[in-house]
Amino acid sequence: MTTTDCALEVRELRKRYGPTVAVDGLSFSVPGGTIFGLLGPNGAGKTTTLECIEGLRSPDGGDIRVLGIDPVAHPRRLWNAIGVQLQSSGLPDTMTGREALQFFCRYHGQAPDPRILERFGLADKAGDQYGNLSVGQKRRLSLAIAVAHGPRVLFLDEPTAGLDVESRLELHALMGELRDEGKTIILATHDMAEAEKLCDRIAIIIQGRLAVSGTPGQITAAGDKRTRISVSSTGGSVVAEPPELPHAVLVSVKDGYARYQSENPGEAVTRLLRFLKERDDELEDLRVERPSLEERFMEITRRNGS
Amino acid sequence: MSGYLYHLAYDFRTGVRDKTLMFMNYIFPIGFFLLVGLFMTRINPAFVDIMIPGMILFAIMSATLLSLPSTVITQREAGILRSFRVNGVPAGALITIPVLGCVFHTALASVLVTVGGALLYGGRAPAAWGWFVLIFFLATLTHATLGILIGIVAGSSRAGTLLAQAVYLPSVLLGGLMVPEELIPESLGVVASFLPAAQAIRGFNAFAMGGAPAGRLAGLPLFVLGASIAVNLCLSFVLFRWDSRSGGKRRSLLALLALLPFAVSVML
Repeated sequence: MTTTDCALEVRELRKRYGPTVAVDGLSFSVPGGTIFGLLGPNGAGKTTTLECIEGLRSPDGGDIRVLGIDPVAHPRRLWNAIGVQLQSSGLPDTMTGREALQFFCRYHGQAPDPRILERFGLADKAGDQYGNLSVGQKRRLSLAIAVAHGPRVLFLDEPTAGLDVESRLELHALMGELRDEGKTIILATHDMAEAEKLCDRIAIIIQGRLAVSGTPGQITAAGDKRTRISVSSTGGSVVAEPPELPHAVLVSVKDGYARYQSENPGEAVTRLLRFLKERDDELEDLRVERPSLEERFMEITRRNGS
Repeated sequence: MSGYLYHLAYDFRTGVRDKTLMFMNYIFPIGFFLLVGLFMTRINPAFVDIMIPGMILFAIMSATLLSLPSTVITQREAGILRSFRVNGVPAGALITIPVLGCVFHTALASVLVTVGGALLYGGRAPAAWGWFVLIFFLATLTHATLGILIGIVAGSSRAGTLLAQAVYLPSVLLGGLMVPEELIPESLGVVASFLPAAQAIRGFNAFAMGGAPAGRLAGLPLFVLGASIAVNLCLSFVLFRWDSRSGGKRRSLLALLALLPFAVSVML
């Protein structure tokens, strides 16, 4: 498979639990060698979608192909071809990291790569029991197990939830390395900054339906077009008498900053600099920020009544 | 080494490494045996006749009913079974490997009880060792498969403990482990017939300990234990679930079929 081939294709996926519709005609596809983010508020159907794709649940309708494999018809073939890090999963407390790798690799019919624990920063913890590992170490071990048998597609469900900043950055770096090696990663997360940083493409699911999909840049750009401009000056002129700017609205004056929203930030910034020069004042700080993915996500969820 | 064999070896190691399992497999039953041997032989001299099979059954029940259900339930509730599933671990391995692990550990504990019972307290040694070993395996497999079935069916740790105790406590009191069955009131004898431990004691007494086989139905306890193993295993495979969300009353009712071999023995 080349990295441009389709690693995952989901068409018209449907799943209900009694009267509750969890997934309602969801369709998307994921090119190989990319990180694909699956986003949505709680109860949107992300985990159900992933569980259907991973062969853990039978869909009520629709079609799924992972590397061309039908998870319903051939779950064992699928489990040998993919690596999964579940949101709610664990290992027996008395199992060591080394044993865990041996255990799962042998069930996949492979000998474990002895360097894998070293790669995931767990070489010195190989003999420690799972119950004695920190949360970050457990997550890294879980990721090591998911990749140990050499799968081409990885499913990671909230892999960094509850981790400290350092552990999160370590996992982000590992995910980036795996993508660079040509692996496809399907990442379910609530962390918008994580999705914006890591994902090549994103799908936002709301109430079991696809609300929007595209690159993080495309999704963000399709929303509120106004850019935020925050400015402060050494002489304080922008705070004392904030100028009126074309195509910009003054939002607030607070903490030594004047904050604007503008649909033409270039023009607004040029006028701001001219204003400071006319008053013989100096620019102290200038921030020009596009709306973040998180803001766009909130906009989409509000619009969809979630 | 295949995944199944590695899993089996891991399970054997866990039975010693895990403090709770170590306690249930060895420390609790052997400690109880040493304590009971001290005073029961003085209160009831006839206890030496049933001491070895009785204390072996106690060890079997500790390793199976008191630990297997909670292990299965904990693994399911902690998402461990889901991790196993997405890595291709078959349900059959999760049902049979703990059973085989229990056989291994209870066999070791039983050797200690048999040797210790004879040397320390003058417990009567089996007259027919072949029958003794066969009935030991039947009793262990019956209790272990029942423990797994309880773990599969029980919706929570509390329910699992209650179900296991519903078998364990009557077995200790009515199973003939410490008091000969002849001394138990007849009405309670019917209840005892539903207990695997009581069937095993009847089998030990009739075939292994030198007692006289009682007529044409002497082999009935062995048939009941064998049938119980088969029924428990079938039900475990049918009712096995990977996560807590797929429970239901219907499966609990279906699990009552595990009583069928015992009900047949009462009717016969």
